[in-house]
Amino acid sequence: MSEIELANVSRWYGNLVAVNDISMRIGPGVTGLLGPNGAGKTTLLSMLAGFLKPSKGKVTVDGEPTWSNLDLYRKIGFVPEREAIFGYLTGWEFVHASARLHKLPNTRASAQAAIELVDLVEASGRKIETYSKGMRQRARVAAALVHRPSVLLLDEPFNGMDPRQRLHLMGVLRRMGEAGHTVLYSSHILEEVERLASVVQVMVTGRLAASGDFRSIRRLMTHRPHVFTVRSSDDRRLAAALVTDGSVAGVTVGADALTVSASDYGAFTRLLPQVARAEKIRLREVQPTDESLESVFSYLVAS
Amino acid sequence: MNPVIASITWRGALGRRRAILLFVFPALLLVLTILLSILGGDPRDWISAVVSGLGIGAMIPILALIVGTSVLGVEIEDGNIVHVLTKPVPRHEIVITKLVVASAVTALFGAVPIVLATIIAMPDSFGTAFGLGAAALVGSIVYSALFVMLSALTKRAVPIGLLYILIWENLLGGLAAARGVRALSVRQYTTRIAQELSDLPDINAKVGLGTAVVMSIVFTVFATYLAIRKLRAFTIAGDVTA
Amino acid sequence: MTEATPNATAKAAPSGVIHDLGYQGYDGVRLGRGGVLRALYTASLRSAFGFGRGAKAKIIPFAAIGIMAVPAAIAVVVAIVAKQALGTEFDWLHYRDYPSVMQVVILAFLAIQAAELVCRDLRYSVLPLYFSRPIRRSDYPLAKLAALATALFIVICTPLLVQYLGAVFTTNDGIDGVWTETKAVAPIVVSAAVYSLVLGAFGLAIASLTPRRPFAIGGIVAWYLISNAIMGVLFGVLANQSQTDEPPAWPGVLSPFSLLNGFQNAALRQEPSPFDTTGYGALFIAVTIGFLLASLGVLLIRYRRVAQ
Repeated sequence: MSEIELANVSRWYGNLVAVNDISMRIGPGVTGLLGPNGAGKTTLLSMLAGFLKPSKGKVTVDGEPTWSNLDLYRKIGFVPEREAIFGYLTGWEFVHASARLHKLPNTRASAQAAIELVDLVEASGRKIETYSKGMRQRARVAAALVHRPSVLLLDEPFNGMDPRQRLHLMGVLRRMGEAGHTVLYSSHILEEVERLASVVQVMVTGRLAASGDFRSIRRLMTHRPHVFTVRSSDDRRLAAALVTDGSVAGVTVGADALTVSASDYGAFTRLLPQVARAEKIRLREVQPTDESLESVFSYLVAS
Repeated sequence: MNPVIASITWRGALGRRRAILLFVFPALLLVLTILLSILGGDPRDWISAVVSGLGIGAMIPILALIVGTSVLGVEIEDGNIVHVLTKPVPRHEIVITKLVVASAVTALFGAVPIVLATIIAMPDSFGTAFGLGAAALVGSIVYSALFVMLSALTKRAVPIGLLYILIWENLLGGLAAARGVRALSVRQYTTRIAQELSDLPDINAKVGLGTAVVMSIVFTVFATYLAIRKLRAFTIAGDVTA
Repeated sequence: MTEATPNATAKAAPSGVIHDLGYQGYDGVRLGRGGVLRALYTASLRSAFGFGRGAKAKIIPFAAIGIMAVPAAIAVVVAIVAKQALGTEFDWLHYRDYPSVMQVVILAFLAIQAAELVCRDLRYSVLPLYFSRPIRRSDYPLAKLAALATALFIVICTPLLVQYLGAVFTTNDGIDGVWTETKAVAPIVVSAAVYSLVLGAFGLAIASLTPRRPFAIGGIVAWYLISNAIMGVLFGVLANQSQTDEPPAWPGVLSPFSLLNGFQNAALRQEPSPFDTTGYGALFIAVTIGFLLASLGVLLIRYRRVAQ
């Protein structure tokens, strides 16, 4: 069980600030680092992996700084964004070499286990230059976790994977998170984060815009009214009754559903059933329509 | 010296096309030697020009440039070096291993043919042959260190290395008054060592033996140190937008 | 969790609309193979001089042209001074000397621009894009060769042009003088064309073997250095052996520039310069042609396999 900590970390290149005063703690489990391209995710991950020195602040894993720390690599595995790999080695040779470089006690067993974990056993005898993009990625992941690191850092790991491969890798990462490893991966694709990460860190232009479970993040955004879709037995009468209450910011009557903007989430959820009962209207469907990661993300990015 | 890295580097350096290119050098040297031997006459007339001028003076540096830049520079440019750097392997071990492999490959394709060529031309002069081979081996090591260092420091290692060989060592170093340039030229060191270890008449280096030996060691150690330092502070930067 | 957007569920059956944004198909005349070749040629030629690639890319080509012009300019000035001040004709450099004397500059231009023309396409694997157009497999390398040869031709002819103009403007013999100069320069212009073609083919052939520019440049320069060194060794040995001062000239075929120089001497009946190749003329011509064909062969074979 390892903990990553960033304390007031900034990194700039001349005039360009790539990471702007970020503080976060990442513990065991799967955390997704979400942000548009150019948000500074790769910079952040490079600092965590010991390949970039923060201009300000401290980046530590279990209290030890990551920069210039050779022992760090016993604890972490890093899969960088660039798709570089030794094409002239076979999959087995590549992962086994990784095990040997880590000076593991039983290199063959560890390499075999890692290859089985990423489901690359059949192809492991072929040269990596014959692999597809997804297979190469899996080989890199296998090499990065051959020493069972307590921290696994992956930069855009699902790039170029087809849905089946993506599902498989998500399963691997999920199981690692459940087993107590600290897994941090970055992505700019919402579904990749929504499905896998239990905690989301949202980065926008170098700053940390939000952390945590995205539904709770949404609830914290009180300045934006929550949008609900409501279908009932008599929409118009319901609309008229709702609009009189202060927690409702607006109601739009659509062809077969109401769209209600509620400025007070809690008050509205209590209000709606009471109003429906008083007016003797049957509610058929009540859906919060903007509680997805997508809308949370677009709100964060747009601001 | 790390056997895993050595194995990976060796296989990378001798991969397919590059190996064919490397074979050109010994082939050329040996064919030329055989041709000249057939032409007849005293081999001592031309052997210095071939093994010292062409072999030690031109082939060894160019070989070392090709091999030295491919053991480290190509890996850095492709991004493969990260796979090695994300392991708890000391950076000096990485650099020295690559340097050993580069020197070995250069010596294999450069120094060994020089020994063979000398023996073919003058079948009873094993001493001279191995002396020249030793000088070529020294050249392999020093040039490899130089070009491995260049690969670590800059993306433009090959053009800079070419400029060094062409302009610094050959063009400027050939000018009569350029003592300073010659004192800092690896070609002069290797030529001087060849002059010392063989008894061939026409090898004329313009630096002293002490200078040659000491500076060879200095160049090698300093270049290796710089390469190690650069690898210790290796950075990956992502793309960022303002 | 589903997102129900109220508007989309208004209609029960799925339907779609394609909006008219004014895009139109093109049914007119298409340029075909000739157009592609012309475009490839023009783009490559421009790229060889750095046009379309920013200011830094223009430094080397224009520096090369500048350096080529310098000796010719000096020769013109010297000739003028000699005529005015000393009343004598002074030929410092003849037209036929330029390709040999300036060979390092020509080599540098060749190495750098040959790498520039073909290595980038290889590195970024865009050849399939080119060949999904209506061109033949041989068209791409030949178009690139035409562009590189044209560029080399311009570079090699620069000093010829400078000296020619200088002579023509200062000649005292009127139309006869102009005609004399023209007769002197014309064969060298032809020779320049041969130089451009052979060197261009050779440079492209080597450069096309690797996607890495530095190795391509290095390969061409290394070939030059080593072939010159070997040639020098052979000359030295033959000079020792032969009783006369002038060694036989055949080792000259080993190095591209001396080979072409020999061709120039033999085929265009020039006074031998810088070294005497009389008696070996046929050899030089034959090897030049062979060298050209070999380079073309390598180029064409190399571009048969495109998906790498």
